[in-house]
Amino acid sequence: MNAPPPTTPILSLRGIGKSYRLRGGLLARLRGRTPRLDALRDIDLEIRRGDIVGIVGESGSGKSTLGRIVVRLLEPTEGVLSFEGTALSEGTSRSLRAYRRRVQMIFQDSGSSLNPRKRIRRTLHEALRAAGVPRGRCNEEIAQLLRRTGLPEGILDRHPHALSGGQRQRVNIARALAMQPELLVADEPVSALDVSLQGQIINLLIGLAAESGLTLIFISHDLAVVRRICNRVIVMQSGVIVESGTPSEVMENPQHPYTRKLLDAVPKGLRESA
Amino acid sequence: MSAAAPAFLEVSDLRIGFPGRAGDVPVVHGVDFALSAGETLALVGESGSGKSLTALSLIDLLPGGARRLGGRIRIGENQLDTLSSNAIRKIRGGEIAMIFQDPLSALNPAFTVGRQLTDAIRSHHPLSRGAAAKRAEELLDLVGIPSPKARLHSFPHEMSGGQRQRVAIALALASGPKLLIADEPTTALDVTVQAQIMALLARLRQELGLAILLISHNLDLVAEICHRVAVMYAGRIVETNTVEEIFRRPQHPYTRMLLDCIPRLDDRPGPLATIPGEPPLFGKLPSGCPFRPRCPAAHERCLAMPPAFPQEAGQAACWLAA
Ligand SMILES: Nc1ncnc2c1ncn2[C@@H]1O[C@H](COP(=O)(O)OP(=O)(O)OP(=O)(O)O)[C@@H](O)[C@H]1O
Ligand SMILES: Nc1ncnc2c1ncn2[C@@H]1O[C@H](COP(=O)(O)OP(=O)(O)O)[C@@H](O)[C@H]1O
Ligand code: SF4
Ligand SMILES: [Mg+2]
Ligand SMILES: [Mg+2]
Repeated sequence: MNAPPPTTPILSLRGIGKSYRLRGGLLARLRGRTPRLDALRDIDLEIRRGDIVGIVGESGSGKSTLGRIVVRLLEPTEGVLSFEGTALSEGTSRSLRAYRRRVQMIFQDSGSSLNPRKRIRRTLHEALRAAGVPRGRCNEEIAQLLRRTGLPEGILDRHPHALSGGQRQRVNIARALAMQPELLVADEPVSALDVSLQGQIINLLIGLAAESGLTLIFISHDLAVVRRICNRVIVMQSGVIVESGTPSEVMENPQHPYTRKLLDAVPKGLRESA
Repeated sequence: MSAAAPAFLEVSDLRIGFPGRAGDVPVVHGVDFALSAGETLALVGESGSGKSLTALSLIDLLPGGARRLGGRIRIGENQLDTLSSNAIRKIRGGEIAMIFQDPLSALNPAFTVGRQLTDAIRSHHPLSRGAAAKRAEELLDLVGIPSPKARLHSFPHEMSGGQRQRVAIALALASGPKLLIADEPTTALDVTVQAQIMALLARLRQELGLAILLISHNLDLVAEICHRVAVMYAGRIVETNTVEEIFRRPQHPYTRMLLDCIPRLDDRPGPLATIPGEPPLFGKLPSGCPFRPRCPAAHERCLAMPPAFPQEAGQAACWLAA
């Protein structure tokens, strides 16, 4: 049997590092030494098209920093990031602009990522225009975005504060979709929502991924959710990847003590002992 | 809990509303529960179901506009509805303390942790500054802050989210309360810190004999430390029972769905269970059973409001359970 042709990963990270400059005390600054904090060290990662990759780890382990580097909201201090086999370097602003459109991000705090003074219609309209959709087609496209994200038309003339948390997160997803992204980074997209509504948003995301071949990086504290929806998991601790694999490998047979600690911390509830 | 000792806290027919164009709009529609020393009761429900308003009314801290429309609250020997606001405030500061989702809301960014703790201690107990500082150190130790003595000099922003919530708990304990209300105390924290804070609350309940009212939207989480659960929907308690019975034999469809939608580690891959739709908006209840638009078991009878069974274990405000 012939092996399938080797496919280039949609995204590859080689030796990515990020250190933040801390303000430090006066003395340190006088001596010309600014303390630095290594938020990420030597991250190697390949993501294939259509993957749903879960990134888990404690607060401060570097998950958001990694997500922001992937969408180029942050520049890494070390290493190379390649999209479809081509390394992105800071200089080429045109390809960077194209990259920024193809790779989108949604955040935990659905409220603060939407402009409070703009009605939803305007927010979506501007996103579509930025994606190059002609003015005359915008209304049609907006109707389609609402359908895909399960939003009622009535929300278009409202401001973000007049929406529920779940609706705001759907609007964020709609705005990201307006760019027709190929890769979506979702940074704790449901942590601020009730358990009862979390499933709606997560199912929406995996539905969209299946429907349009979207690649998804899903950052979360919730190992049980990652278990259900991801085909790969990456466990991070203090800026490094300590374990990765399929969800069943990582969760049924965790190799790293830190992974076990994360698993133990998940509330188990009281289950029927059948 | 045994029925022998009278409950420390007893709430009956509590109603809360906001003023509207055509009179007061009720949002909490007659809530009943009781809580004894050394017991933990969870108030569980989705955002907007009235959990926080219920809790805030116990300490007379309802937000602007909100008003208690009726009902009775007894705390220890005191019947709150017969007391002046001043007297309530004394009880609030002494016997009841509250912690919130965002620990920063309870902490002053401009003062050290030690200063805030000693001030709180001295406002309730006639202690010298030195003795209060000693007590502050003990409290930090009690809530599991490492090197408590050194930490007295830290400012809130120099601590992690989990440490801040511990400090907020220490601050709440400064008055020596008998009842601690914890309103989503771990929602802003990650799973490992969440587990630590839950373990801390359980330990404090046991060591200090505290009564704890824990508010959350996650039944798996409250099951870790609670004895009883009251499930709230659209301003009403729809079911109350021991935590074991709530898990084993949930009576209300809403309770069942709340249990089902929590993803579990041993689940098969696939889409998550959800509760369709969203909770009703403030002041816009459907006619009949408030859960009707989202309920898979809704039928004709549900066009009429199902009877409520305040505090009767094994009953639920649902025609199918009646
Ligand atoms: N702008 C910044 N300046 C300095 N340090 C920062 C900055 N942003 C993040 N850090 C630090 O980098 C580390 C990683 O932070 P990051 O936000 O990536 O963590 P995270 O895993 O997303 O955590 P959480 O689960 O709390 O969101 C932390 O120690 C954090 O304090
Ligand atoms: N300050 C306020 N002004 C107006 N409405 C409010 C205010 N606080 C709460 N409400 C309304 O009261 C209802 C119950 O709120 P709350 O007790 O905060 O719910 P929960 O804590 O269960 O999320 C909701 O419909 C909410 O919109
Ligand atoms: S009364 Fe009817 S609508 Fe309400 S919860 Fe029961 S079955 Fe559902
Ligand atoms: Mg983060
Ligand atoms: Mg609340």
